[in-house]
Amino acid sequence: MARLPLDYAVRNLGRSPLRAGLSVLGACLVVLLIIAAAGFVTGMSRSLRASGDDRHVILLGAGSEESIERSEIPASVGSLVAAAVPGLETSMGVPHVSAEVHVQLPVRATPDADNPRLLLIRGVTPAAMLVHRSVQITEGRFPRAGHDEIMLGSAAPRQLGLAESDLAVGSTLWIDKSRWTIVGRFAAPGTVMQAEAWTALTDLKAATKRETDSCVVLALGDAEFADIDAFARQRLDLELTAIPETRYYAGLASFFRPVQAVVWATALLIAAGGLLGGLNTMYAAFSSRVRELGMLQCLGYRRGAIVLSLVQESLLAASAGAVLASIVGLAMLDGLAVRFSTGVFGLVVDHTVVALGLAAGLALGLIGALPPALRALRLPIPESLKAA
Amino acid sequence: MNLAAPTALLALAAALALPACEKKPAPPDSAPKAAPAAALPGDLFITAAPAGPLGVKAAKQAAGPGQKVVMRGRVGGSVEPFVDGRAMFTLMDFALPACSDNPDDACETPWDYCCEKRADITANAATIQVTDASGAPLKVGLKGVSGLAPLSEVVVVGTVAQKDDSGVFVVRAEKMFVGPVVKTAPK
Repeated sequence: MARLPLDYAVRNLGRSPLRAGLSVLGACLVVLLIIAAAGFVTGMSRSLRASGDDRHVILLGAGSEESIERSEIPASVGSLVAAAVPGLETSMGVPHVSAEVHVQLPVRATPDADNPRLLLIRGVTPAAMLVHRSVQITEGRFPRAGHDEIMLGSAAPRQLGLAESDLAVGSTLWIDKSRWTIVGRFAAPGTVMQAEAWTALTDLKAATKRETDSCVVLALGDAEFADIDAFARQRLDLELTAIPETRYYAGLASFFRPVQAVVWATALLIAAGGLLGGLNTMYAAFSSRVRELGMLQCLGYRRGAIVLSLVQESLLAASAGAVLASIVGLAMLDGLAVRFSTGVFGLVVDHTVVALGLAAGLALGLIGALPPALRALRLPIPESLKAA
Repeated sequence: MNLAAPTALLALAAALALPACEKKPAPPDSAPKAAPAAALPGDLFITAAPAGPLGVKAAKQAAGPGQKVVMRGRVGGSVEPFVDGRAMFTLMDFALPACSDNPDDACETPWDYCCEKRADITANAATIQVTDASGAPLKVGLKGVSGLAPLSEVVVVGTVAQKDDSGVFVVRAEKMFVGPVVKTAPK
């Protein structure tokens, strides 16, 4: 079968620069949307996955396995588990056991600011730095107990909707109705912790008028999860549940799966709208070229060859749009911080997401061209040649 | 024929997609690693119930650390009274009714005693362990072994390893009888 040269398809795209430009732009927008949706889902999943360490176990209140914030356990649990379970990781004799309070509180830059935003405040002791090793203090220092001091994660400004300059070390924040001084900034790349504020455990307990902790996070050394589980079941009086940290965050990820499904469904529905629009454009474009297509058949080109050439045209426009969308996605969407109930996570536009976007662009070009091309070639040659 | 534009386009697309060949880092294990299982003592389970067992609550009051104890109860106290990978479970006193003792209760996990106060559960509970020479629970689960299941009736012969004011009562089991104790009729 004699094929039309690829150059024919390329030149045809140039016959109507406006139409070609709109086709490229349409494909670009649809692919960009798919890249954004995939980046959102990937970013959220990766953030939750990175937040769990397979050597960490969380002790929290029985019945609160799905939310640390709802959990309440006696303040003695940290020291009890450290004393009762041998084989926990230690540094210079200090066990890696972090008693913590997690609570979301309204935070304002000034006492009279409207619309305070909720920020997850984590009350910790210095042992938290032994357990959560991804946390690195980038500026300032760790908060001291008894001074109402806090240390902000790198994504906290985004979470609060405030400028970095408003949250510099030395400035103040109003948590609930109290004034707190920012004494440090920390990074915890890729984890939910980067959107948190950390303060001294005792200060947060005093501020929230609570005596209990939310949880104890500990790092296993020679001990195994079963040892911690055994401790929790032995101490029925403490009403504890032991859960591997990875399983806790996997549970959170599965809790948010419906949200991810909605994101995908929205993207696919809009993509379907874009596809239908593209089909409409192609029907109009190809039907205005019926005489040209009839002439090509007179010249000896078979219908299959002509369909192939039309699909090439469409694929070129769609793939140009997909490439453009991938470049825009990589340049503007990758790492873009998104606020969510788990904190802030960054959109991830990695090789998988880009490949998905390019594949979607190619599918768009193929599906968008085939039906109009087949319809345009349905007419008998004499009628095609007489078409207006 | 000028193929420069489409060729450049395809090359750019390939360049963007090619990093897909990057080697992905191995995902972290979802659960902490476990040590190899240890075997239970061959003579742990006995076929005849030891005579004169005390209830769990009575045994907690009567025996102190290091003392021998024979006590009878049923497995329960929480949704999962067994510990995966450890020879350990919680035994409850018969005096505390399980949810299944109430015919109107449709609880799906009646062995968790969810209808009872936590303080009562703690007061009526004992932790049974099968340990190695160092006193650590053997690294093998007991669930399903010799018919051990939630609400199984068990008579334990062992030594009190730990007892404190918080209600903790840990017994190192030496012998265990699983099943209802048949009372012989007086002659």
